[in-house]
Amino acid sequence: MNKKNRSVQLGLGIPTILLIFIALCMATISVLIYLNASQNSTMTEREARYVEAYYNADSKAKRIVDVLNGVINTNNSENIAYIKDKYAVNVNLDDSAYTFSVKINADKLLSVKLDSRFNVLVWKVIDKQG
Amino acid sequence: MRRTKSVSFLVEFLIVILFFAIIAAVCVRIYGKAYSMNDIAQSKEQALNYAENYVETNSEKSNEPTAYYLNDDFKKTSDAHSYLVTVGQDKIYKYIKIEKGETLLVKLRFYTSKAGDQNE
Repeated sequence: MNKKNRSVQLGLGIPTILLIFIALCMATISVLIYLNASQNSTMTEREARYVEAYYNADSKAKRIVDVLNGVINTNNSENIAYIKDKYAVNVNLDDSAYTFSVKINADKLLSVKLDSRFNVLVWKVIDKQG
Repeated sequence: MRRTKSVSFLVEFLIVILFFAIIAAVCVRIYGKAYSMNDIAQSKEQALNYAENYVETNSEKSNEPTAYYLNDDFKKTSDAHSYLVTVGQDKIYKYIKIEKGETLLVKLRFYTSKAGDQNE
């Protein structure tokens, strides 16, 4: 009789309460893992887009330098006007230094400054507002 | 009375197991999706680093268009492996493209005056 009284009995509702607890834990962990992966993916995607845009601008700027210093045969004596027409980039000539900027994305520009012998003085990324 | 209680408990337990199975299936699906997203992101990041290194170290060379495979550690391999690297040239610009299976991970454009078309 004593033995019968001491036996453990799971009451009604206990499995449901356990299920709710375990389900909440699993859902929380899954959502956190998913959010982390999603954020990681978004950041990598953004970085990839920026790097691709940067190298597009960089190669365009290198091409413009080649056009300016006459390496490229454009069949056009006025290289600055040609660059404006062909690449939509304004090249300024101040104090025998050439300056121009190539758009990287909506916020950034690649700013280039060359001396009269077309040596690179400045080749840097700047903010569009700055 | 005791028998009724046991039956009720059994029914409740079966329902709980059913719900647990459904929730577990959903969670495993979410985890699988997250794992796949992480895997692609990691591959993309490594491919981006490889492509940047390639462009920075080869931009002064006028190397020919080529294609080769890389293994999971981004080392060159002769067998058709994880990553396919293609270096090619459009009219003016060169490019490096890295693919994993059918997925394009990265395509970077670069310019070398030596290899580029000397006419516009």
